[in-house]
Amino acid sequence: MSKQVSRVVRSIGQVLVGKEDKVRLALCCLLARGHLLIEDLPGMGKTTLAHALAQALGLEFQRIQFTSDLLPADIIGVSIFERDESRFVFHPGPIFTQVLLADEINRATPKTQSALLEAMAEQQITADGESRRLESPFFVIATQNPEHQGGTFPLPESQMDRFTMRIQLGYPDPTAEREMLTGLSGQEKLEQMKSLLSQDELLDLQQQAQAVKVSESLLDYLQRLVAFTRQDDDIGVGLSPRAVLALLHAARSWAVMEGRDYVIPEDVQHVFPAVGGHRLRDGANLLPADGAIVHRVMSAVDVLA
Amino acid sequence: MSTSVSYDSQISRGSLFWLLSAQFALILPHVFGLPPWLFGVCLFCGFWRIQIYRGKFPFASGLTRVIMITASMIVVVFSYMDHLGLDAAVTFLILIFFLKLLETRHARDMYVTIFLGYFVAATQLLYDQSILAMVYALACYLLLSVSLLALHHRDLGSFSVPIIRTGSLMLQGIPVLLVLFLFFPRVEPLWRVPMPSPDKRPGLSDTVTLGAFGALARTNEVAFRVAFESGIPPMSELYWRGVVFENFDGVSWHISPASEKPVKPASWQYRKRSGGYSYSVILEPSEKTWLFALPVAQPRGTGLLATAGYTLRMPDIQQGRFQYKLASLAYSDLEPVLSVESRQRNLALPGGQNPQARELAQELAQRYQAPRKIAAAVMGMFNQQEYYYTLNPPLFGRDSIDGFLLHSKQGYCEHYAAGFVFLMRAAGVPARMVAGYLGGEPNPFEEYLSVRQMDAHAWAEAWIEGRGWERFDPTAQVAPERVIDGVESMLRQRNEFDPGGLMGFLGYDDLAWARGMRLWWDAVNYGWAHWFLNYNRTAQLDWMKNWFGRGDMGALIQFLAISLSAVMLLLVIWMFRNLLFRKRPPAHAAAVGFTWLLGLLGSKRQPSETMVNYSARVAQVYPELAETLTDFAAVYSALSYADLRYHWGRRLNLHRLVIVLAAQVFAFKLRRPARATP
Repeated sequence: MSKQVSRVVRSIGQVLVGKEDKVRLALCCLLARGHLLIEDLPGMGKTTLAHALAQALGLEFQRIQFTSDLLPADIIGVSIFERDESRFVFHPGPIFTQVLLADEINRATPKTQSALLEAMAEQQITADGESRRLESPFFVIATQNPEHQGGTFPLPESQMDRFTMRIQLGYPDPTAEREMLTGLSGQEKLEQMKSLLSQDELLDLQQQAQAVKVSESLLDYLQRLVAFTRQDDDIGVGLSPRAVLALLHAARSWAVMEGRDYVIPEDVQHVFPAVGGHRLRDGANLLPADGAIVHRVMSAVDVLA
Repeated sequence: MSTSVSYDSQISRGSLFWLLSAQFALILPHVFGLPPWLFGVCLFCGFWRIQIYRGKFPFASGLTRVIMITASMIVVVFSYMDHLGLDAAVTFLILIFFLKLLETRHARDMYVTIFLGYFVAATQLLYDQSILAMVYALACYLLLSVSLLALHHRDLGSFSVPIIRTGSLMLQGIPVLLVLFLFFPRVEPLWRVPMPSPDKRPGLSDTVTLGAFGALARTNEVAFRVAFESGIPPMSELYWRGVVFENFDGVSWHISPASEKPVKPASWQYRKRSGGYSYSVILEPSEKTWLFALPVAQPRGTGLLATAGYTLRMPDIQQGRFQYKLASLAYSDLEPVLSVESRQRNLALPGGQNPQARELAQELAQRYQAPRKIAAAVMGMFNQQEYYYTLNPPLFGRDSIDGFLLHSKQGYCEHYAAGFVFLMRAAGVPARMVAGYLGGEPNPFEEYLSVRQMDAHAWAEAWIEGRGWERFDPTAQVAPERVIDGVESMLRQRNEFDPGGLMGFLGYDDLAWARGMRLWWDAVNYGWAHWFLNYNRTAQLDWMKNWFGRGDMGALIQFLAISLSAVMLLLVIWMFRNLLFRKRPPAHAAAVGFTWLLGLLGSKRQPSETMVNYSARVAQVYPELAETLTDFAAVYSALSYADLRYHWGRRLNLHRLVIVLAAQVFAFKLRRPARATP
């Protein structure tokens, strides 16, 4: 693994103990210039991870706590009439930042959630008929509670598809939990954390990821994977072209993090559950697919053709 | 990624760089043949073009170009005033080729220049057709093609990629090349550029004054190569007869026009005996039309001339190598009836030189009477008296034969032959000198004999009443090893062999490997001449007749069309192979073999298992195979996913690993049954 990446992973690992694998996936997502959705039960460390990521990357950072009464203008900004100048002046909202932490995104209504669509896909927002560019890099790190929890509005599929990855944290194992119980609190560690990557370094890693070689054989494998999700009867909604692109980008970043300049199927397999999982729907009831389906796709598709 | 190129687009830096390199590579072989000012102009044009590229100089204006082209025409015409031939044409072509640089502004100019380059590259083969020259010409074509490629692809980047890609393109042309080589009709040229007068090449001269053969004996250049159809005859029979010297003016021996008179081979008079040899000869370029043969040689095939002197000639002086086929017959009674003119010619001893030799001949004639006995006496004299064979004999002036025969008694073949002929003529027996080569070196790699310039030899023929012309080699009496072992070993024995220096790399023959290398290279050259250069019109039609039963021009064109279509069809299939056949990843076959082998051990691959995971899993159960398995997985992974398809070394290694694994697996199966895999 490349030195900078392992440094970042180690540092975040001190804040969020025992979740190194998830931390790497999250970092991979950001190197692929993708947006990240962290989903789990309350209290599992979602917000801590999001926070730690933003801090480690040393980027400008804004946090929005999504609630059911949050409005799009609260995110994007609003034009207010200035009496002195006799005209409307746009007051940018919290979205004008580099890392946007959208906490508990599914507590807001679909209308408000959709305010993020344009920003996430095109890195710009339109307010009062005027388009404004957002800063670069621009990441959305969102957290959400599982949909069956009370007081949540499920994210629309269009919104889901814009997240390159969704990761689930899961319970920590006993050793990690013990460490957490005995050590400093997450909040204290976060405060001590320094930014570990300069913007140039981040940009460099992202460019490296774009330059990673992808062979014909690997593209064949990707397409076989995708084709399977579209044809299989147990899967209601297959992967979109955007999803394939996301898969490819994520696999490239994973390769860079492994210090390789070409993608191997293992990279794809590493990122596939995180990239594909939230996009697939169960064939029987069109509900979000569970881990078993993702696993089925991977074990059914032949790596070597 | 390629960018489309219109005829008006700018020239890429890569293309220009490759073109310039190609241009200078192209003129390199001409450096010693063409006038030096040409290369000055070439360098200047190259420099100018680089300055244009750097933005320092402008392109040549219309007026400048007109002046330059006119000036170069005038200069070429004046330089070659006396001989407006090939050299002039090539010089002019190269000039144009470089002047074109000053107006290569757009891609379309580049096309013209590069295509002109393909033409210029062929000119070096007009001067030299050796293998090395051909290889060099191919390298020039490669450079030109790289330039063409770089013109289309601006972003090929590094040095090696364009070369490798062009090389692979050229390799793809091999089928077409073979078809054209085999079937394209060899048409007689419509016009000819006068060839330059041949260089002074070593060879036999048409006048023999004592002293010339010695210089010849020291060059090891090949004169001709002979392939016998059934075994090489013994050395002492290899008298390669080339030219007859009948006219003697008292000092030098000349060729008589009478003996050069063309006749029909059928009119040669001799009695056939049983035995003989069939062989073909490849003659190196020489400035004479002389052909060398074991007497009496009947030409097989047409195109050779026979002379009244029982020798063979080719119709014209050849620029390149010349191949001919002969059947030599054992014979006796050559020309049993001698015409009066011929008798006079072969008895003539004008002038009053060499009185002592004449006196000696008179004595011998009186004592022995019969011509055969006189000849035997002279031969005996060379044998018994203190004659000594040396390549550095003392020189005598006017009475050179007296000086040699009676005083120094030192000389080489030519002295002995001349001495013999002089004595015979003075004794009243018609005699003449014959020159050619003796012996040759068998090549162990191919069944043929190389005859070198240092094998040049002179001997004598005397006409005996009732028996015709008989060969007498007085040298055999003095230095029999010259005849039996060849000149090289004789000189070695006498320590007169001059290693290095004039003898060239023959001098290193003491080293076994050096000798092996030399003979091998000689064999390569022979094969090149035999199979490639001599594939002319006749050979082509012969070949067609042998293989396809028809040897005419119509058949040739039919076959050309058929095989070109076949090649094209194969190319089309290749181009559309992805539509016709399922596309397979590069290491597919190896992977199939690999999984099959491991399947024998009871470990089937799961679909989702990559090679690396699969190998790792099997390696846990069979640690003995771990090394092979990991190696295979690593190489397979690199080949399939790192875009290293063209790394032939790795591909080979992959297949090697499969073979190693197969050996290990089968050894395993024989010893004990499979273990369970997790």
